[in-house]
Amino acid sequence: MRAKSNTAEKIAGAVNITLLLLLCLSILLPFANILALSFNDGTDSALGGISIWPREFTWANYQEVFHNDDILQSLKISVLRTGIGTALSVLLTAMAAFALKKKTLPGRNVYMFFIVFTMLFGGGIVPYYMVLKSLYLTNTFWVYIIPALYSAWNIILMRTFFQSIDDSLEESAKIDGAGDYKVFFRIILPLSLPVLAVIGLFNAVGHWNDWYAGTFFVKDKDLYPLQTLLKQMLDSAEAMRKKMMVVYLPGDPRQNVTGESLKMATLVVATLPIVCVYPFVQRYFVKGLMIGSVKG
Amino acid sequence: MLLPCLIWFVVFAYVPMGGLLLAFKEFKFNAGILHSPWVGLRYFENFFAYPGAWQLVLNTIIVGLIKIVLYFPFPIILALMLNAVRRRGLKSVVQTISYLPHFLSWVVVAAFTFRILSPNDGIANQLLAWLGGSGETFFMMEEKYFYLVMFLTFVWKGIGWGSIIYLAAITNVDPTLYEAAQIDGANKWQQTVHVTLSGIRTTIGILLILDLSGLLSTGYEQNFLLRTAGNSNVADILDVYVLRTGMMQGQYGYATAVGMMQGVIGLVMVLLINKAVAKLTDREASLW
Amino acid sequence: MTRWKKGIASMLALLLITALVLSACTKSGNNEASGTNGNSPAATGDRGPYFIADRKITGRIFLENDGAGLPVDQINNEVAQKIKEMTGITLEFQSTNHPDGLEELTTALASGDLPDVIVNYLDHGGRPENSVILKASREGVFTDLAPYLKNTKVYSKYFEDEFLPRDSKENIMFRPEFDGKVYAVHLNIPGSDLTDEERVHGRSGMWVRQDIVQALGVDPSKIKTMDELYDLAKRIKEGDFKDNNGKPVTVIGSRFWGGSITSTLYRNWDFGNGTRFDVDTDGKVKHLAETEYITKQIEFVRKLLSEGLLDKEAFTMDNVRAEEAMANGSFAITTYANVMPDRFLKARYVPMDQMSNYKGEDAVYEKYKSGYMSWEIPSTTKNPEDIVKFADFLASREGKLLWKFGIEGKHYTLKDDKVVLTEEWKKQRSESPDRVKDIVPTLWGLLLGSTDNNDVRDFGESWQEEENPEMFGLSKELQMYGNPTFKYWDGYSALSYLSEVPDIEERLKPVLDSYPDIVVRAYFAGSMEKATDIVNDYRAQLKKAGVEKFEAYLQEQYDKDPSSVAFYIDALY
Repeated sequence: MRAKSNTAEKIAGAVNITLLLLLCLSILLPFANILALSFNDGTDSALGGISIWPREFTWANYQEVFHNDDILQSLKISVLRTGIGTALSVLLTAMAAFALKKKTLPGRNVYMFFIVFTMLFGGGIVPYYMVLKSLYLTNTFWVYIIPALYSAWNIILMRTFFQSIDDSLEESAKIDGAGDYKVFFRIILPLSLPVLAVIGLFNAVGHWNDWYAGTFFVKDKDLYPLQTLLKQMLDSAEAMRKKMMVVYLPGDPRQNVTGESLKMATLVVATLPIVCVYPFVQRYFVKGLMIGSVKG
Repeated sequence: MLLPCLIWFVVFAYVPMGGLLLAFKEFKFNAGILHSPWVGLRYFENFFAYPGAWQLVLNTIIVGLIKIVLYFPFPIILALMLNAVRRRGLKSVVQTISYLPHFLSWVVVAAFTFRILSPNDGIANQLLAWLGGSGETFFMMEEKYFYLVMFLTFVWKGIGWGSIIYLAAITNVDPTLYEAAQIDGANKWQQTVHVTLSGIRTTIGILLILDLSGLLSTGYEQNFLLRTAGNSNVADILDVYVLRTGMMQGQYGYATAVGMMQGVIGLVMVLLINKAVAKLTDREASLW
Repeated sequence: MTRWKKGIASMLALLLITALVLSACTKSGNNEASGTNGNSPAATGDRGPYFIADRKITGRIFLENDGAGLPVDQINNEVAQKIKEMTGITLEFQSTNHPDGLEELTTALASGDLPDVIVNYLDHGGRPENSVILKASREGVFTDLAPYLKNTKVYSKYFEDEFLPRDSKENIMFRPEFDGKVYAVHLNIPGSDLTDEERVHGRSGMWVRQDIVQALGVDPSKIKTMDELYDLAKRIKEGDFKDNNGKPVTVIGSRFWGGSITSTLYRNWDFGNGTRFDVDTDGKVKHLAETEYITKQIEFVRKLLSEGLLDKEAFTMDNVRAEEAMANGSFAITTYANVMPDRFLKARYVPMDQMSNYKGEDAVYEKYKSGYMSWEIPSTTKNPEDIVKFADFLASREGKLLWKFGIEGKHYTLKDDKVVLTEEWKKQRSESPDRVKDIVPTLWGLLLGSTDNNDVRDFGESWQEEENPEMFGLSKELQMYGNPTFKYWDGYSALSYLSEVPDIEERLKPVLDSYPDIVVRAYFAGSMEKATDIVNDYRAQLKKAGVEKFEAYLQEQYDKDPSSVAFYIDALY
């Protein structure tokens, strides 16, 4: 019998949506403010009072962000590192998680402990830096990729998801003569799209947002990812304005860009890509393809 | 398959861990980590001799409990709520909006917070005045409001992003189970509890373990920014303290010692919680 | 069981690798960036009087974002090329715009990642950089530069008796423990003989809106006592003044940068200004909290708060909001700002910092001579004397003319030995101001050459005035507003002595540092009794942390030589 949507459920549904919309409102308002500030004349913003709409509209803040010649290069770096880094990470993490999920793996618990331990203890930035240096990773593109290949957290999470895939699928494949790799690629991966998507998303966002590695471990400007460059721009803009080293001609729209208004513009620029990418990721949150295949 | 993973961890996690030795040595620039002289437990002693030490630890634990335990159900609830939305388009939009705050830095969020809670012209006070209150409360300066403020901003910032993983888990739940439950007469609510929730219990379990392992290291940025002279008694946590004394003086030993203590507590938490989760989920969600 | 053994075996194998990697990873101090081809001049015949060596010097700066001012090309710009022609030296700095210069410095020192020369902040002996540099110096990370400095034209002035301020001399460069060796070279030491008029005064202190005091018929330089301040504040409140947006003003607001008030607000009782230690009327060294002055301070601030004369948010306001307020004139009085003519063009503020301090003096206190950055040469650098000579060149007038002004004839000319910018260059500067640094690399030269500074003596002032007469005029006006008496302090601040007694420092410093929080809590306490409790509690904490030992130590130094300890210094030291 089809469950009728009775009134209780209808009300619950309405309440649900209301609460969700309230949450959205509480988020949209500050963001509208940020957007408004990013499109508002900086000096005017400094007078306060801007709420969700720009008072003195200007493109100047964004002009300032993009006027830097290095932006294109850093964009390239960011995209490359996000793409390569994420792909490699997800693949390798999945492999490790797959290996770890097998109950038959010798020393499985030892390995788990080994990995978990690293989440809790760290030697600090100095020894880490020394390791990177001795491996000649510093000041290379690979310093973004290799030290970020694995994360204990991701491995553990993936493993848990893999565990929920019925063993019988694997077993039947093995009976048909499939080796580990075949099982991995043909069966596990296709069934795990949601978790792969999620871990992929986390990885991608991590790469995209990371400014730290570029600041600390890289000297060549050509190797700066977007976030590092943006941060640098923000910091130096503020420093230079403090020292009055840059004064634009009256009439140049960029004259009124302040540290704050620039900050807002860079925030929007940095966040926008993820917002655009997410809907694609969402598509993978579909029910696993073969769920029903084992029954019967 | 596992080998590259293990090697990686040795190189990038265990070798730098050698730096932990600094908790017991006095770092000399020219001697490097290995040859700096031992000072035993001096840094640990110094830490506990500081009159505020126990308060710091207590604060850190309370803050950790709030940020982890108290916060824990919220992303789950959001995921369930989102899941209940029928219209695809709406669900998608709401979801996207919900995680936007994750991308804001705490600097921006803290600035907003101070403005909203201003005793002079903040929105919060204006609302309170409209409702009949005094409208002049200086929230940020009073100890008693700190936890509330910290908690609310933390939830606001993280709930959307945190719900993503649960949403993914929910899609993993076998749809036929819903049908079966419906046939058994379960209404939507019962379905949610018994099918959805129980379906994602392994995810919940593992995330609980993972989150709690960081009990003492919940990060300093938010606290550092929301801290004022008025609420510093409860707002000061270990990480803030370490930052100020450790790096600032080039005294790595001290910073490392405190970091080590955090790690030890984390380890204890992992072991304990893991045991509990193992029992509850029949070893499905536990680490080992 | 065998499965376990297999697991453990592979683990052990991995751990062995760990051990191997660890042992290989000792800090062997491999410095790849040491000076390439450090050929000393040898017999290179006629390269000119300025020639030093054919060599490239690599440098690293730890200055929190100041790298932004470096030219896009440090080697091929005109000035650098000319300098190379004259001296044979190419200089290239690397900065990473890391937000925390100190953290970067410590990491670099620890990992041995050092170039030929480094430059970092080092205002005075009490700054955290000093302990890091000191530690590194004691452990042999840097070269002793004394012998090379003696052979220079400009830097050798540092050896003259009165040239260096005490702090630079005894605390940073010529520390007794180094027995004549010098590791850190302090920069930005002003040239001697600067008159009051020639010096740049910050007037760091309280500022008030000019139109308000004019409307009330008050002369800010005549406000001497806290009572007078209080009366003024009341009159402002009653006067219904507005800011640029038409909103009523906050009578007394935060500092220009937000976050706190300063001792300017209770100057009449500012015992131990800046260090919180001072010598009481009985000749004994005491902490502010151990005297009655703190009570007076707290009472006054509480009074201002309760009557709505002091903004509650003065203690928490972030710098964005504070600057907003200042730009709008929303603060009638700000507790702390300094001369910023560009900011004050719209909402005109004037200094109100001539109140009497606790000693009864109404002078404006400033630091006598202060250094501002320092440079050091790592011990791994070859031929360090090249670098010293080069720094000396940059510090000489010839050098300064180049990196401050450019090429003679092209960017400036000399009239009566004073610098006059060329019309063409002036035009270029106003057309593309952000390219100026790429042509005349001022920051680049400043990093090693900015010392013995006396711009008036060396270059005249007219070029500044010509460029932006409005701001120049305003700046001078504000600096001398109210015709104050200036008093200069010098020497080793009491707080810097803490680093001399590390075993006391370890316990005492955290308690000393918590003072600002304690006192703000006292301001906001429910009643004066509760506030007093807080103060008493703090006194007990100080005692427990060994403050009496520290005071005894300071007393010893003070009794031996009163001028060796600076207790009363400027506020935000």
